Amino acid sequence: MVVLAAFAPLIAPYGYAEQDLMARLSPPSFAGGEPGHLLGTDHLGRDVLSRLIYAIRISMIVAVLGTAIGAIFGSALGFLAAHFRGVVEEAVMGLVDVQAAMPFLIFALLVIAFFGNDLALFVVLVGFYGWERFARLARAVVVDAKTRGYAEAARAAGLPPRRIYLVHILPNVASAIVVQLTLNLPETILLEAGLSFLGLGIQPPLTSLGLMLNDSRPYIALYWWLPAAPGVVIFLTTLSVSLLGDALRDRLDSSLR
Amino acid sequence: MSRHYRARGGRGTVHAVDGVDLSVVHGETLGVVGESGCGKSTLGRVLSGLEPPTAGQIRYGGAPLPGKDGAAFRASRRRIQYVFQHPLLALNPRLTVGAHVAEMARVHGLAASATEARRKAAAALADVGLDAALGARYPHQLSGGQRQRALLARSLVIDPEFVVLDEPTSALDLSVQAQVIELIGRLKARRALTVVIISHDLRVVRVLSDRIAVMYLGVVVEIGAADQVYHAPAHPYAVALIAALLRLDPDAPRVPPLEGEPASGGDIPPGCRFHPRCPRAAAPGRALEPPLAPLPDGRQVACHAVAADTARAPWPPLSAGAAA
Repeated sequence: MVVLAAFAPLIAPYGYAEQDLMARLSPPSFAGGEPGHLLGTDHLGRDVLSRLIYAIRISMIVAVLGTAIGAIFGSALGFLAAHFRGVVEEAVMGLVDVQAAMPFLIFALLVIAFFGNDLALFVVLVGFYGWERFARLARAVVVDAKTRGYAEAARAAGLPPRRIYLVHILPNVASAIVVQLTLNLPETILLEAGLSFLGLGIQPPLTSLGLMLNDSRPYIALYWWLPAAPGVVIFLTTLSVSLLGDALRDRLDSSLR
Repeated sequence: MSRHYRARGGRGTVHAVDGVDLSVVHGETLGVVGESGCGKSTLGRVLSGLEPPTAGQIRYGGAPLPGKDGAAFRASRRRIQYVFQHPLLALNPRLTVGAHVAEMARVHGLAASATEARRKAAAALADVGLDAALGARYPHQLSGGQRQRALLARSLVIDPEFVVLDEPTSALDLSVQAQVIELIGRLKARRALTVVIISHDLRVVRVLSDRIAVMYLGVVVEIGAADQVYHAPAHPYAVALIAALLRLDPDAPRVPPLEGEPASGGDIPPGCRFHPRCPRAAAPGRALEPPLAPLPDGRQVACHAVAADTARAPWPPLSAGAAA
């Protein structure tokens, strides 16, 4: 998927907006369609395979950047809460509870309704999805790490707090955060797909996995390949990221002794 | 030059350290012994400034130690180092031991570049008898003795003036203990270090110390020259502590082991805090806490019975096993 996303323009047989109106709604070539379109064409005669590859690219960008934003923002707040404790901690955790109690989709609808839609804003918005989990997790693991001997010893050695957090505590808690990252990534992909499906995400002629699903809605009954292609890709991507997360967790845990 | 440290106080209602007044002179090694929970580690932490005393103060070279954290605290770490009890816990599992040592040199401004810091670290590791190649290892890849050495190197790379060693040998095998003790002796002789060694093992303390302080339930009950305290303890608790050591001496006087358990710092008996277990306990000990009073030979002992002995016969103090 990553390779597909990175080299989309080289791999895709056609441009994502290229139309061939003469060959509209052609079934996949293995199901008796035109030989040039491996996964068939859509209602505007665009090559499904090419659009799919571009869609993966967009969805990946949104999901990876968005998750990274959420992880960095949330973890930073979690570190701050664990460092200052007291009022700062209560404020951050209060914010976390508010965010956790609010259905994110409603929040996203509100933001898009107010600020309109463009790709950068959309990425930031998706980034806020799940930050509260990172904040909560980071706070917990850092509070725990601070009671460990090495953190206490680093303080006693006279190291400044920033160094203690970045050099001593961060590498020790990173595994937990990385695992959370791989849990969040598939959800972010699904969120992007969901928002795009509602028409609030990526706007045509750009495409994304969710948008492709949405576009295919009127044609489900007759032209099965239109929803099937992006659906299968969403399924496979989220599954593989989850499996990657599992493997990563096993690897990181056993590396310690 | 003389330096004074004063610690007085305890933490919360648990009187881990309860009114200790002692000074450590520049260049000397003071050993602190006592059973688990007597407050010797707390004393060490307060002495080195890691924890503020609840009451009283610690003066270092005439000036009070800075309070917790902050830039002044970090600057004071350049001169005062505390070496933790369990090397495996005190070292970061994700950093190589060399990185630990180099980091110290760098943070305390002793190395202008990373290369220089690495060179200093290699020198410090060599100083404690660790091969340069071991610097690239992670703590869990080292043996107990190597870890203890690495921890020492981490503190000694910045050439501190005053070091508190908390149980430097308790995590080690007997044979490795001897090596580490010998190493500490060599290091402090070469660097004119002022050292406080905390241990429950009297033999460790005796080999390395100029003076020994015996603690019981948060107070110092006896303090004096190492040989005096070790060979002719005066306080009944010190007598029992030393008699409990295995000695290959059939003529050594037999001292019955102590009865009962030590009370906890949260429930200190009134009067002399040792009286429930003391073989010489008498009326005054139940009512009054004995002060740390000097004996003619220079040491100080907190015991009514010993004070009475001294009043009767100024020298030698009557105590079991008096054969210095």
